[in-house]
Amino acid sequence: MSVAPAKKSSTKRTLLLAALGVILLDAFAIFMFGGVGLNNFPGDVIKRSLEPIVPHVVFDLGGDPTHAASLFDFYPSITGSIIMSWVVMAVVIIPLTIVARRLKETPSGVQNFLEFAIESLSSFAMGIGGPGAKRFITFFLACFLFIVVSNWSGLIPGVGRVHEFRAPTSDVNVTVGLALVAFAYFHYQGVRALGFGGYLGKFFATKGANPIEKAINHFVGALEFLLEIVKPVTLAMRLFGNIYGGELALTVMTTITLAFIPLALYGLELFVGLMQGIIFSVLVLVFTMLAMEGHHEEGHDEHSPAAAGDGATAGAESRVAAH
Amino acid sequence: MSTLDPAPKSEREFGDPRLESPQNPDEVVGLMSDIGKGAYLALFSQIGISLLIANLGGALLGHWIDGQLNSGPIFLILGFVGGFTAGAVAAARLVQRTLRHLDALDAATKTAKREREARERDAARLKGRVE
Amino acid sequence: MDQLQAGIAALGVIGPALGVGIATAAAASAIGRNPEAAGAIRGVFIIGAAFAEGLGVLAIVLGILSLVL
Repeated sequence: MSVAPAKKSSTKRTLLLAALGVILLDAFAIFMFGGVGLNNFPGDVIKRSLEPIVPHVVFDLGGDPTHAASLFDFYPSITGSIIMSWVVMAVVIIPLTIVARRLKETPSGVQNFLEFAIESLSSFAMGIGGPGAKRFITFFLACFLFIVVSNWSGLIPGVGRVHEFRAPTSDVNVTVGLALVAFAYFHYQGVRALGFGGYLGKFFATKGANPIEKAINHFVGALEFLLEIVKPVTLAMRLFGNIYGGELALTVMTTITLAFIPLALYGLELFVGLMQGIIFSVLVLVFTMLAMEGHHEEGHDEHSPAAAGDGATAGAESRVAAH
Repeated sequence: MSTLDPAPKSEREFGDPRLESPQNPDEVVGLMSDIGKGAYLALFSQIGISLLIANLGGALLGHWIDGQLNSGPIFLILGFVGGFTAGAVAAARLVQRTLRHLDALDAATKTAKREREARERDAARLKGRVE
Repeated sequence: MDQLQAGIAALGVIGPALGVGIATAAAASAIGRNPEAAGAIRGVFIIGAAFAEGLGVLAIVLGILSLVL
């Protein structure tokens, strides 16, 4: 009992001393260099240290030095976010490949941790998609790992400040690419489950007894179509907005306050990065499950065919297991 | 439970044996009921952002049409209202379908749980009779 | 001036924020009282919170439009 309070006060003292040291260092730097970058302190300094929304071109492949980079650009070039996404891919793929090559019967060390992580993630995905979601777990895991590692890569000090590295998901081109991949994936799964004609029948419903019903069905089909267009846009914009906005907030906080105060925001950004990874991959899974459902009139049937199938399968399995 | 092991069947169905956990499928279903609520978080996030995108898209489209036709802010207002309506209906449909999916899943989980409990009770009774 | 307009428009998010907070608190206490009905309560909560959020979205869109137009 007598040890704990002494320890607590000593950590507090250490923190206070560190904060004092940082303040002294700041004062010393201002004294030495006369506040070179500090004219018009809050406004201009923040403006100068903000990360631009257009990614910086590192290697120019198009051979046109006068080309001005814009946000949505089809000019062949390698930007900082592309380089960082290669780094992220290496960080995700190489350890997993090495561990997968040397699988042991009794897991230990890294293999133990990875098995725990992947098993809990896949049971999380199964909880959302049901037993039918087993086929999509690989895509779910791929989305999750790439996005979370990308989000966290932007929190490494220096990434985003130097031109050569920038967190991939803080670049709108990368998130639009991810959303298009997801879009193609869940439509492919829908077509595979329902057949091409059945899948198109969702959007161009021609059934109906009388003209009014037919018109309503056409309207519902058009609405479905709109929903499909909105899906990838929302996926891309949410990821980009959260990550880029978080990085801007971190920059502003680090500029106008002392060290240690942005640490709280740093912790929040770690959490937001994880949450956005979960939300993106869960939404892709949910959209895949919804794309595989057949089209049916609202309110006429209680359960969708896919969900009823899931229930039947689970029941059958438990009955099989009973004997 | 011993005569017909369900594991080989699911391996044949899904192909990749590395993804198969050694657990009984019933137990996987039981596990899912506790942690499978991340979908609600994602769904809630999706409602707001799809409304935002549809509303903003409709308004900007209306503004563009106004610029082309040199008319007043008629199409802007129309686009604003129409975009909001379309976004609301789209979000409502998404929520309705997802909730139905989750409810069906929940019901299946509960059924499997009840059946397992009944089976365990039966097994216990049988055991007592044999002894 | 445009930025001031946008800021004032975005202040409208305060109302939905309060609404969603109250709804979450009510849903949490309802689930605590009756854990069996958690699924149904979650569904009602999602729908109610979505209504509140829709009004907040209107405020944000007006703010963005006052910057863009």
